[in-house]
Amino acid sequence: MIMRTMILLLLAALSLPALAADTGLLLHDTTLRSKPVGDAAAVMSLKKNAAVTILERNGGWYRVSAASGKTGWLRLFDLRYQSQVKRRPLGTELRTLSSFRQGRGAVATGVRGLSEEDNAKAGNKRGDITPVDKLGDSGADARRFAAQAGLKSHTVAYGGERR
Amino acid sequence: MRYRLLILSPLLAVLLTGCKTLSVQNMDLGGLMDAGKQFARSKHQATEQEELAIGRTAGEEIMAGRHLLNDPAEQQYVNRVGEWLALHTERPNLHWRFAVLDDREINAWAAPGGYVFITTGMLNLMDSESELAGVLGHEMGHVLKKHHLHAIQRMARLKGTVELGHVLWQAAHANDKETGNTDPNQKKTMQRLQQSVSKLYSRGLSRENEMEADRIGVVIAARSGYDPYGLVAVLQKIESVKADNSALTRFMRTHPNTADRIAKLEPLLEEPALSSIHGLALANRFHQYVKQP
Repeated sequence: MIMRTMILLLLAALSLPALAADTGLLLHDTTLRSKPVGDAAAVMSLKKNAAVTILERNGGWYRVSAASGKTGWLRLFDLRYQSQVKRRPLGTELRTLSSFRQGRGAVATGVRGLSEEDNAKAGNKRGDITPVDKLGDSGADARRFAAQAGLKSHTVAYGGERR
Repeated sequence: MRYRLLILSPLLAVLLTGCKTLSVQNMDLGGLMDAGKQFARSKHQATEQEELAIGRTAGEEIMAGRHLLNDPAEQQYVNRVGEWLALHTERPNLHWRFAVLDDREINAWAAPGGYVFITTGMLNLMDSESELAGVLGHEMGHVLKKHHLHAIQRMARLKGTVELGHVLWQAAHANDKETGNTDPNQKKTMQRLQQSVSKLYSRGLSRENEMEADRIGVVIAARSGYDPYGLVAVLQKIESVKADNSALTRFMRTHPNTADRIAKLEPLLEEPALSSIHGLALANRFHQYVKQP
């Protein structure tokens, strides 16, 4: 049992991609903060175009790691996402190994809609909307599903002000 | 006789409004039968039935060459999230349908009448339910503000009762064994409709429509208890995808510059009403239902 677990862990470690993370570039000079609030203590200053590693997001803040190795929080709007590498939480890696596949989703083989040129080539063949008509959910089920996760309703006008 | 009809028409409108017994393909054709209502309706705002008929034509355009992801649990999940969002809009009773398309292209679309489509390519970029809520909310914004509906009506010249009636007739008889109505005016209307739909979805909506849908998407997600930054987080990830990636070509052709969209949302998200909402991201639940590579 222990041997089997160790072999599985070893296989998992060998199969995991080299440590990679999402990265971003600073859009302007800014301050790295100790917490995701505007008046939190400053950790360090960062210059425009500095590269950071993005560790997590909390609302309108990213926790990042700077080149110096220091970590802290930046406002979402302070950086531009540079690259995204799909990461899976360590606890789920073993479950996903057997079903790993590149780039989920069909590659288009036929001519698809939403382009005038494509439609002309396809002889204007219409798609089938009937399977979509079977979709939808009841308000009651949606409310239950939301309640399970603790989602709470708020009153906000489209302009952003409270109603 | 003419004057008597003019006097009686409002009464006819009232009497016939309740006539909603004819139903085809779950569509209520009461609007077509309601001659009094048609007579009284001077601006020809499309009824919900007409909106849905136009939406089905747009949906057929989107579905051409595409198919639903064969994962009922994931489809139900996206519909549950979408329906919860819908309960926080001005059209909670519309029959909203959310479809996950098995397609590597990064995109999402809306069609009049409550159709929302999202690709697996788009879902692959996401990390949380709040991001899904933001994108679904954006598409719902197009339906709520009738962006596609008004553009299609304008382009296809579907302004009159007669033309809208043609569209309704076509939708009601879509599954007829006969090849269709031979009325040449009917055919011309449907041709104009299909061509206009094709043109609109190929070129995209106006920049103003897209920016408005962004704002609505953020607000609907916030109303529903989600972290309101979800949509911006997705836009930032889209921005990081290489410009020559074919999965993004159509999206870039039909939407404003992503950096501009993000910049436009900053003042909205800093409004106290939104920045004070500590909404939920729900990353774990998202990953439980949405399979990613």
